[in-house]
Amino acid sequence: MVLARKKRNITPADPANILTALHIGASSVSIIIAERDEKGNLTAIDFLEQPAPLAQDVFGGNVVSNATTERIVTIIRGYQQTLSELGLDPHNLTRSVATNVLHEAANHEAVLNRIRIACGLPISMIDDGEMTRLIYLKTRRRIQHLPAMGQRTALVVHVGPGNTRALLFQEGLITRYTSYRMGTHRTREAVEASNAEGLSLLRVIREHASGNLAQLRFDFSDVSIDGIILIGYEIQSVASSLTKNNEACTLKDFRKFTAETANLSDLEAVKRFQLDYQTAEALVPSLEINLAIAETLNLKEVHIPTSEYEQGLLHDLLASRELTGSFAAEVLRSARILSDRYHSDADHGEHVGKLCEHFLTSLQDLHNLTAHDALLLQVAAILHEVGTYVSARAHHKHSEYIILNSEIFGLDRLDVTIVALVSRYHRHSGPKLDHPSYAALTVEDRIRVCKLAAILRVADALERTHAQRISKIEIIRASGKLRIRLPGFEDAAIERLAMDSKADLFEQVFGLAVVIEEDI
Amino acid sequence: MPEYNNRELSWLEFNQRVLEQAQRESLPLLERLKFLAISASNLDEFFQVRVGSLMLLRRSGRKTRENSGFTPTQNLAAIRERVLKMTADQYDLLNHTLIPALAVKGIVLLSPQQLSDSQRAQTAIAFEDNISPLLTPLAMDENGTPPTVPALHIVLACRLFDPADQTTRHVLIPIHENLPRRIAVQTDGETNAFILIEDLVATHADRLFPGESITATTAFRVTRNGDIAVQEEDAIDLADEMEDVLTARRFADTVRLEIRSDAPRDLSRMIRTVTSSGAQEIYSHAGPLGLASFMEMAFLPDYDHLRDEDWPAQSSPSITPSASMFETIAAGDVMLFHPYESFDPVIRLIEEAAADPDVIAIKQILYRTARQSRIIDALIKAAENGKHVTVLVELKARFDEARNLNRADELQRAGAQIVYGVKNLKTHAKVCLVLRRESGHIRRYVHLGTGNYNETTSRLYTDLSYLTCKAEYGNDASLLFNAVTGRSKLLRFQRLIPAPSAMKPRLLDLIAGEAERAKQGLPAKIIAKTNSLQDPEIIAALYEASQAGVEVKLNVRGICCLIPGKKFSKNIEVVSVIDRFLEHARLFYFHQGGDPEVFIASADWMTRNLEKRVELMIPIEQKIIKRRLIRILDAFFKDNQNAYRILPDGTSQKINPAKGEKPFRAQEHFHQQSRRAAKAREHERSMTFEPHVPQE
Repeated sequence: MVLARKKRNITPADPANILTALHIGASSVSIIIAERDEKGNLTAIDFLEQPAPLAQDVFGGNVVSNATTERIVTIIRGYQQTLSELGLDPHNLTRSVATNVLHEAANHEAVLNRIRIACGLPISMIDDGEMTRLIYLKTRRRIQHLPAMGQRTALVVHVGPGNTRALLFQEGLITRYTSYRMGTHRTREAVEASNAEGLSLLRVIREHASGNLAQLRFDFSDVSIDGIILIGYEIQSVASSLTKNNEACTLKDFRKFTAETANLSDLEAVKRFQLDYQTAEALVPSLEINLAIAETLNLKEVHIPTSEYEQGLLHDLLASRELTGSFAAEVLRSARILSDRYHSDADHGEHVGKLCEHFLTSLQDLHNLTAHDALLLQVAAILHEVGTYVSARAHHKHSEYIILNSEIFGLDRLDVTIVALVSRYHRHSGPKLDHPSYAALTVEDRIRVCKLAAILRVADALERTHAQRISKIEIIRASGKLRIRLPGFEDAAIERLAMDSKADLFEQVFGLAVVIEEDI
Repeated sequence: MPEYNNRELSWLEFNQRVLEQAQRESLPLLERLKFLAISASNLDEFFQVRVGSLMLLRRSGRKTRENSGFTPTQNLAAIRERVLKMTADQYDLLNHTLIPALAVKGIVLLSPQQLSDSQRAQTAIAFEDNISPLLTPLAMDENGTPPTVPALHIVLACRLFDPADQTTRHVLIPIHENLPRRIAVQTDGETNAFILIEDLVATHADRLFPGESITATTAFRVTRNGDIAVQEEDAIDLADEMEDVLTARRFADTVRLEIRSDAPRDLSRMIRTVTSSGAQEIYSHAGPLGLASFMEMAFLPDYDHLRDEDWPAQSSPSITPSASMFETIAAGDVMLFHPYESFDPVIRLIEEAAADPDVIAIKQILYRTARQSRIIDALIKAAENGKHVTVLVELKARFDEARNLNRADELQRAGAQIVYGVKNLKTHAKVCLVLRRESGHIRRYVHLGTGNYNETTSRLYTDLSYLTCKAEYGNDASLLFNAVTGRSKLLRFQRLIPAPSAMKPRLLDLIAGEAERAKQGLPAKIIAKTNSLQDPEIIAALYEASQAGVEVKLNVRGICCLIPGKKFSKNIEVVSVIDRFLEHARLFYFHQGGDPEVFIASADWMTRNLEKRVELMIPIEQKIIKRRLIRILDAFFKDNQNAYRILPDGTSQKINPAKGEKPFRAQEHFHQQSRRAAKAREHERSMTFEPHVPQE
């Protein structure tokens, strides 16, 4: 019989200095426990990782099996014990997230509920936007020193379990971002039925990926790529076999390595590369997809960081908050590139954005919107007129579908939908439930769209002339009205006319009639 | 196909070197007796493990040849031939040299015939009072199942005659393991006379069988297959399963039957039947059986003049007695060379951790522990004090399972988390990790060693201890514990190199690296100290390095399957040092173009260590420590007193001083060095006063 322990009287490390992040990934569950020093730098105290076949279940049968769910629960409970040993609250983690692969499981909610019940931990899913943000952070923080990043045009490709993302860096800044429904585990499950082995397996993978590869070739056909950096769980786990000291690996060597690996059994791969079975099974698809991408882009060599992928990801999950500023700037840059592509009036968009910012700042207590909403409004301001590229007539509708069908770096699908709807509602009809995209949103998100569109319409009315005439405004709230004073501006007839047709939504949403007051 | 020496014969050659220590006239008498006992104890283990598994292999019908080309049958025949010669040497030494020489010095072994009437009466009382209650004779049922006799016990076989019905029968009397081997016999003078227990029982056994008389006796001893492993897949609770193994091992197949050469024929035949022994398993000895138990005699009190002068462990100059171990390690890495330097600082670290309120957790791997282990006591105290104590107790540490089980149970009762090793792997790494809160941050203190956490062997085995609080080493130690406790998969380490995942590939890389340098005409050198060298891939890599021109110096205590001095190994020198302390440290040096890499390790260069065990190889980065380790390695190759050169045929030749060369004994050199260093440090301390100041 195990006797009860004495009550612990140990003072733990200062919990305020300790950050923890749990990640339920595509093929493993991991946790990082990191300590923050006086300068805010994070040092890992402990890192634990256990394989769990989540992606295999999701892409193989659309649901996460009970066995896998229970395995995840057992792993997390073990981690919670480690947290207790360090004197930390096992139910209060800084971040606890799951891969967005889980979203594709029909029972994802039941899985998250089970974990919450068994471990007392709420888990949120990493969305596409956050994933992109993490890749961006990884690029910024860890692989900036790679020789390829110094090159003029570098492509960072992340072949994930379900999707592949490509970030184009020009002079160190993101100029393009694309994503493809092609991933290591997704491909593995898709080609498994072929029973192909060795080189024939590589051929089957290549055929399966051909559509996405053609799209990728088209997406980057107008740029000359100087260097490519391949990142991802599987490829980084064999990086040290492919390259030494972060030097480039020639495509010839990469091809040879891929062919050799394809001829290994899973057991041999496990032994040779010290992998778990989950990773070993997804290794060949990962190598072949990465190789195919490099070949498609006619590159002679690739760079693969030898750092630990998973540990870096968890580290970034904790560090991401401090880098929001530069990340937002990259999102806006991506929006501007899209605006340019559709010859939208950039000065107008920027000016509307500035006015929106002014309203947001002045009316914080009124709208209660978040910083993230503010970023979406800025993006909508930049993009609201891209539809004019198709036709000036009903351009707000064209704007909606152009945005809906575009990739904006750092924004997930929900974000993009909100930006598209806010842009659509910058003129003419306001939100209605018979607009399908709008109706598909939750009530909370519909309210966000209404608030953001209301502000955009008012700002756009003030920039009716596209001449940036009104740059200084004063906002006064009094007796059911929002009075917009225009210091030094004598004739705002055009803006008032525009406001008459656009301020309706603002009044409906915020209960304030908008009045323009010139400086007479 | 590279050539290899036979592993079993190589081990037997090592044991012959141990026996040669007993044959050295220059050694004090009781030291010689000790080495004889060690050689016998080694043989016992060899038969249980190696011969046991070879017999299983032979029985399975497998003809697989081992690397030297021997089939199991050939191997067993070669072993028998070699062992017969060795045991003949052992008994020749015992009967003709040691027993007479001991008698001259007052330690007299009496035979039953030599007892006087009064001595006979005195021993009869001892038999009645203390011995016979512990004896359980086993009757032989001519028609039934023969009784099972326990392994490694001396058993007395007796022929009894019943005058009433004129019948003869046989009985067996196993001598209980709790009975002393040696029974003192009173003498008039100052001599220390004694009789062996089996002789005493034989003399008075008729008291056990009233009405019958004993007409003949002889002693025998069986060795059984000890290679009975736990079927881990079927084991629900490893601890329960291990108890079954312990029981099974006592009654497994006979791999050796030792019998007195003067045994009467009928008794001899009966014993063979009872033990199911074939002719190939029988070893007849011209003297007492179970020489391993003569070890106790080597420690007889009041005979220090017949033993080596004591070499007490010195305190290391790196350790400040007045400072806590945490302060000492925080001030700089510490390397201890045991047993020249005391093991006490390692125990102190765990004891201080157990009592320190800032210590959060202690994690430790225990392989073989001492009977009265201060380390386990400290871990129990730590658990009772509310620390998180995680202990991996390796139940698969052969022959130590029983002790490990008991202590594991105690630790668990105190609240420690116990892990019974890792499935399919033996955990042999020596590591202790202490997590301590310091100024709001967590700091990890690590002890990494080449030897077990065993206070007894730390006084007898040469081992290295490395104490550090470098973050990377602490981090890697954490990863190791996360892996062995099943909480995490084994992740890539920053500094430490674990087996079975990384050590062998790294060693092969390092050897290949030296070979490449040699090919390019650059200086290249490998020096390695290991207990055994058997892994074929490592040996093949060393052959290649030799052919490339790398200077390879190997200090291998035991098994060496590498063949030195051949065309393919002409640059390889192998020495083996057998001295008062058992050479146990594993230490490797790679020249690396003049920026040498030095490692200490828990693993030998054997396939079982590199592929079937959790082991650690520890790179040593601090220059001063590195230089010290290189000097240690070099010293073994200067030894011309206790070193042997391994010859191409696997035998060895003692190294003697060359003409004009001074005698040099590595172990004595290390002892003198540690004594001088401790003295110098003591002197330094005596010159520096530390005033007591009021507490703030």
